[in-house]
Order: sequence, then C-alpha cells, then structure tokens
Amino acid sequence: MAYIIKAENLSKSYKRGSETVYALQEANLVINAGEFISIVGPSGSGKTTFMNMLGCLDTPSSGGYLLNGTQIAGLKERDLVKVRQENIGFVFQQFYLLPTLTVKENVELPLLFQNKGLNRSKEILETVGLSHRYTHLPKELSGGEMQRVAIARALINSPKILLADEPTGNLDTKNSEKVITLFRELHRLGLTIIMVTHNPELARIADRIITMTDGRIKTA
Amino acid sequence: MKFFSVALKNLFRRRMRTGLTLMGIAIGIAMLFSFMSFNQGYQESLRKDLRNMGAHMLAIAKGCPYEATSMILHGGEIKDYLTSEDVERIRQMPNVASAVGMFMNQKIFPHGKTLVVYGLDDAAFALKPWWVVKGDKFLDERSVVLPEEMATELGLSIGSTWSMPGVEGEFTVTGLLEKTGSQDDQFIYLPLVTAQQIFEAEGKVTSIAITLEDISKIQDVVKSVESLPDVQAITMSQVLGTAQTLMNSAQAMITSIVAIAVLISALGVMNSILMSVFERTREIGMMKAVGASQGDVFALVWIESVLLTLTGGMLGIGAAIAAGKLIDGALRGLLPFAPSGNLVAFDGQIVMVSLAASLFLGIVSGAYPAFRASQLSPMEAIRSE
Repeated sequence: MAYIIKAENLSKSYKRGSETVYALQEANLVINAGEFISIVGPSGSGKTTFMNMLGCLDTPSSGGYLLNGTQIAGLKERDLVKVRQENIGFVFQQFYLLPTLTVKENVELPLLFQNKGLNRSKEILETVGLSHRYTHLPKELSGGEMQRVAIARALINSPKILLADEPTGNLDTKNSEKVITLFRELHRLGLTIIMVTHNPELARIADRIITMTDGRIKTA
Repeated sequence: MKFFSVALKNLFRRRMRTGLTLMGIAIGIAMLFSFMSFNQGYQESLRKDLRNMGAHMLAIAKGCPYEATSMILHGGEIKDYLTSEDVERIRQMPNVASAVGMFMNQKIFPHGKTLVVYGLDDAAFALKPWWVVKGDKFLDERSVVLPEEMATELGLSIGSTWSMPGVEGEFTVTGLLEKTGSQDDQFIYLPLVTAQQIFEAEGKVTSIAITLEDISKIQDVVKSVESLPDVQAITMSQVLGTAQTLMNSAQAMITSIVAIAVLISALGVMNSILMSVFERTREIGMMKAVGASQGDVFALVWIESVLLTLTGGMLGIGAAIAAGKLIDGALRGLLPFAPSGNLVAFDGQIVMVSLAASLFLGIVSGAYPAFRASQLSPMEAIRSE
C-alpha cells in the first residue's frame, strides 16, 4: 500500500537557558493511506508536538516529513496553510465551534478561507447524522453533537487525513461511543485517521498504536 | 457566508462591551461632527450678518473696537455719538455713494428683555433692498415697524397701538418686517427723528453706514473718514477679522478637546478588540489550523474594528444632528461673541468627513489587534490543558 506520511528522524528542540530540550527526538514513522493510527503516551511524552508536526502546524528543527509527496520541512507559514487546506482535517478536544454561527456556517467555515466552489455541507452533515440540526446554534447542541459538527467541519475540504486531538476528552461514554462509531465509519470509507489520546481503551480501536515517551516513539 | 458576517456576528458575542465601545466612538465622532458643523455655521452666519449690514463700511465714534464689533452685529448701547454734520461731511467725500446716519439704543422692557431700538430714515431702508415690509414703513413720527415674529409674540398687528416704557404717548404699528433670518429680526424700528428724541439725542447718530462707488478705494475712504475728529471707520473685513480673533482661542480649546475625545475613543476600540483577540486565542488557532492564512485572520479582526467604528460614527452623527439645537444653545452661552444665524450648520460634506474619520479610526485602532491576531500560532488550538 502507498504511504501518505513518512517522517524521517523528525526532531523538535527548544532552548531552555543553556540546555537544549527535545520535545520530539528522531521520530521515524510511515503511515499508509487509509490507516487508522492511535498515538498514546503520558503527558509530556511529545504526543502534542508530534501531532503539530504531522498536522503541519509547526515545522521540525531537523529531519524530514513527506506528506502526500510534499516535503514539509522548511516550508513557510504561507505554504503550510495551503498544505493544511488541501490535506488535513482537524478535530479538537474543545470542538471550537463559533458560538455565533449556525451548524451549517460552522461546517462551512474552512471554505471561507479558500476559493473552492464545491460545498458539500449538507451531505457531510448527513454523514455525521446531524442534517436535522442545520440551522441550530452550537449552544442548542449536546457535547456529542458539537463534536460531530466539528468532525463535519474537518471533512468539508475533503482532506486525505483526519487528525484528532483527544476527540472524546470532553465527552461522556455514550457520546464518546457515537464519535468512535463515526470514526470507524469514516475509516471504512477510506479516510486516513490519526488520533492522539491518553485513553488506552480508545486507542485500541485503531489499526496500529504508536506509544510515545520522553519525545521518542517506543513502538512502531 | 462572508468575512463580513462572521465579523459582524462576533461583535454580538459581548454585547455589553460592544455597546460601551460603540458609545465611546459615538461620543468622539459626535463631538467631531458638532465641531465641524459649528465652524461652518459660525462662519456662514457671521458672513450673512455682515452682508445684511448692507453697507461697505461704518463710521462710529472712537471707542473699543470689540465693543463696536458686537454693537454693529447685535445692537447695543453706544455712549458716544456722531452728529448729522458728520453724516453730511462723509456724504461729500470722494468715492462715497451714500452715507446714512442710523440711531441705535436699547430699552429695558417690563418683562426684563432688553430690546434694541433702531432709528431709521428712508435712506437707511434703501440699504436693505431685500427687506419685505408688510403694510407701510413709517407714516408719521409715531409709527413703528416691528419684525413679524416679535409682533406675533406681543400680540400686535398692523394698526395696533403700542407703548414704550418711559415714553409718553402711543405708537401705531404701520409695518411688519418679514422674517429675514438675520439679526434684523431682533430690533424695533422707529423713525430716526423719533428715536433721537426718545433718547434725548437730537441731531445725533450712533453709526453712519457708508456705501462706496468703487470698493477698491475703501482704504482712501477710511483715511478721509478718520480725518474727522473722534471718528473711526470700520470696514466689514475688519469686523470679520475681529470676530474671528475673538473666536480663535475658543476654537483652539475646542479643537484640543475634540482631539482628546477622538483619541480616547480610538484607544477604547483598540482595547476592546485586543481583549476579544486574547479571549479567542484558541479559536483563532483553530481557524488557522482549518486553513485561515495570516491575512485572513488580520482581515477578520480588522473588519470587526471598522464595523465597530463606522457604526459608532453613524450613531454619533445621528445623535449630533438630533441634538443640534441644544448644542447651538450651549455654545451660544460659552462663546465670547455669537452671530445671529444657526451656529451649527452641517452639510453632506461634514457627514462624509465624519464617516471617513470613523473609518480611519477603525483602520488605525484595529490594525494592531489584527496584527497580533494574525501572528497567533495554529498550535494554540492543540496545546494540551
């Protein structure tokens, strides 16, 4: 199977006084298109840094990162924006729906930042099971529904990869299950999913689990 | 969905804060608008008052030029008189087309109002060809012409009799002066001789209105007039200049107050928008993560700021227009010298300038918060708790 992500000796370091601190140290990882990956590890293990790297939110201090054939290392913010728009959908622990916009408007928010004619918000909201909430405001939704709206927003650009940061961290069991079911469904439809969590049980639904400690990948 | 609507909706998130910021802007722009309207109105009414004099220059008895300015425009009491001989001498001077002696003095009426009494003859009427007098001018020595509004106020009409306090006998209202919109609507007009008798100043006049054959020779005429003993000549441009000098210091003060008000409101906008940017750090991070560029974020915040100041500006202009009369009254009390027309006069240009100022305010005060927002990292959205 063709790989979509290839990280080679990916490192991120910071200066703290005179010492160099590695948030991420020589990470090597290949992810194939259509895979469902979980990244687990305790706090401070470098999960978030790695996720920022994979999501093109940050650039590495050293090493290389090939995303869908593009070398990300060394790109400027302007180019990173383009790469994100074309390849990655983000799902956050806190949902980050704009409270003043309707469900439909929230889902279509990423379209505001690019000239894409296609608007599939109706179809996508059907996929996440919220077509009846089209004109509602976020405050009228349950937590689970909010996260599903956020997932719909992540899908509006037809990304190749879905990056989820603790997607069920703010949800109760019942709502978590709905979100997980949705992830499985999206995976079945062929989407590559990378999910960061510190919940081992949740991690197990993935094809593969990457464990991190002290800025290094333990198991590949 | 457009940037505009996202920005607009965002302003409704913190209604109280948005409202207070709007008020700050509205006050600043209202002050700016009123100030500009006042400047325009003041200049206009001053010029109008001067045009309404109907003469190129005046000769009066030597005295304080400020007092003379106010007297010429508003009426008042002058202690030093010129004589009929002065009128005759000036009439004989080269380049003088006409010289008309006028008598002016004031009387306090029982209701406490001080009214200015003007003594005129036919030549004086000729200086004001635009006057429309209903009825007749003066039929005899006991005639009086009243401004129409004043007559209505006093319950008088043509043919009514009227008495003046401290003066024996009665007057008959022979004519009503239609509203001129100038200081002339405030005077009581009597035949020149009658006015002189009432104030025991037979043969005396308070001012001589002079028209010239050739206005370019005005300096020569000034010289000739001032060669007469105890006579000073005042040209209309001198009156304008004196009134303007009186205004300059007041204007400087008002300008600085307006500038401070506008500056404070700009700081208010900057503070308010900056606060909302800081509160939305993570949300802005999310927007960048889902594809917003630095320019997109900058534009969103900037639009918010401009929307805020434009709306505030419109509210301010509306409020200033609505309160125009009040402002007129308040200013009149504060000024060293005020002409009789509308002190506050605005036009489309002043509205446009005020709106442009609001826009500029939004652009300037929103730029820094917008820049700060644009520099936020998309990682803010992911940063773990």
